[in-house]
Amino acid sequence: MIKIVDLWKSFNGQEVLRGIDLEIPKGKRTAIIGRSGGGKSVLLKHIIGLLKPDRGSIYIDGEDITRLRGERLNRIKRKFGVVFQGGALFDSLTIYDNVAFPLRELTDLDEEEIRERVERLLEEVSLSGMEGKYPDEISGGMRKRVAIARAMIMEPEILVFDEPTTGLDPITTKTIHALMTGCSRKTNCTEVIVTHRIREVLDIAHFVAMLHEGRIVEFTTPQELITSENPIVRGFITGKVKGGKLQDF
Amino acid sequence: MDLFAYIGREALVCVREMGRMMIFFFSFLYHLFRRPLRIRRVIREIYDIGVTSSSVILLTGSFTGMVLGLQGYYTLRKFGSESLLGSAVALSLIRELGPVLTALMVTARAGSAMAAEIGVMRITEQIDALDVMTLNPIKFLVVPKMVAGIIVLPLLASVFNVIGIVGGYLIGVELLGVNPGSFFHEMDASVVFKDVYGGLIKSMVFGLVLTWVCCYKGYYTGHGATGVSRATTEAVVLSSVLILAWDYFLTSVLL
Ligand SMILES: Nc1ncnc2c1ncn2[C@@H]1O[C@H](COP(=O)(O)OP(=O)(O)OP(=O)(O)O)[C@@H](O)[C@H]1O
Ligand SMILES: [Mg+2]
Repeated sequence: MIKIVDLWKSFNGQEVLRGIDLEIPKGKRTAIIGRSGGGKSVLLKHIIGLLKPDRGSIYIDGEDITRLRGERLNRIKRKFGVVFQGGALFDSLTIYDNVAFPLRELTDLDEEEIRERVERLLEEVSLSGMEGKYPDEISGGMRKRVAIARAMIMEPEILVFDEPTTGLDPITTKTIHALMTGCSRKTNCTEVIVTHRIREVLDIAHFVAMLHEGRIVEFTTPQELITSENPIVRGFITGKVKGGKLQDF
Repeated sequence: MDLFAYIGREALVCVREMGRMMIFFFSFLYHLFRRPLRIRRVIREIYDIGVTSSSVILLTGSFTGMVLGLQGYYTLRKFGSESLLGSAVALSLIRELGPVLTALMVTARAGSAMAAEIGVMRITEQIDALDVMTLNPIKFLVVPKMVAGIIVLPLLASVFNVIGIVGGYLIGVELLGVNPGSFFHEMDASVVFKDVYGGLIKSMVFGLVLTWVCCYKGYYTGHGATGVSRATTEAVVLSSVLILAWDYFLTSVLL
């Protein structure tokens, strides 16, 4: 379980997170929604230990990662698989080497086993035959899928996706959703998805948290979200009020 | 009043930068002595630096040796001591020009590439990706480059020296007619072991300095493509200046 308590963060005087309180349940898929520029990526970077908050704590399975350093922090970080908003693929490595990278660097598997696992996973994200290409030689949607494969290859306990389907066509989006549900069914992992597509929330999330002006203003199930009376949530969903902009609902 | 405020601000920026560089260096030292060593990555970096720089080292080395032969000959002839040409060429190369020019060439070729590579990795979140995989970026990216720099610079400088001496020989002996026996005999008599290892120590220090500066500048790059290009330029300029400054200090200590 991930528990965030009173998390504050500002950049050069600009307050981005202003007292986040959030509990992300284990083994479920939780979506975080909110306006573009609202601090969703910043929140994710705190959860995975990349940024240190000005104030507040983040408990991962009971341990406060904001107070951990060195090897003890690394032990927690190894629970995570992360898909960055921009993919963050290693651009000097081929697709195959990108996906094999965590196995090569962090495990003792021999090249035979690595090949087997990487090829199976690339097959699942329908990228077989692309192994030898470099990240700048494939399309944006393919890059996303490679990033997802790289995050999944270590079979982490917690998968974190920063906008996994933004800018992708409906069919690719479906494939990626199928991947997520398939993966969580297999390994029963916790998933955190940042998105601003209501459609996606309704399709795959178990819970949804809405981030607005640095705070979590709503935490419910997707069904309750669309019937919510909260004016900020209503504004975000309908895209009418100044609360938010609706993207491809 | 404004001028003082300006000077004060610049001085503060400068001090902060130096502090960050020292912290960067200490974290290099810390990770250098932590396992695993990642020998394969060090070898890979040695290969990269060597391959990118060797052709330019061969070219600059031969021309430097040739011009030393030419200049040395006309200067020495005024005193009727052309026979000393071999020792003049060898000593200037081994003690001074070999290490310094090699370091400057490697900075231009491999150092700038290092700064750009790390800078791009920073702005495209690849460094963050390494971090969440629990591969410390300093350990994984910076330590192999800096170790490779310390190892490879003396090797490249030695190549530079040998090629330079051959160039000096061609000009002095083959073209201008210095006696080949005295060319090599004087060289043999005047170059002592201290010159050679002094040159090698210089090369190692330059290798450390230039990889340190280039990795540091890339690691703390600014935003976007302009940030990376500025980081690269600053890396090359600062490395070059520091190489020449350190050359003075090392020469005064080693003499
Ligand atoms: N490293 C940083 N330095 C300074 N400001 C930052 C930094 N990272 C984020 N910010 C600021 O924090 C705010 C939130 O950014 P963030 O990337 O979290 O938005 P987001 O909710 O993920 O938006 P999007 O949906 O467009 O990705 C932005 O206003 C941004 O300017
Ligand atoms: Mg974002």
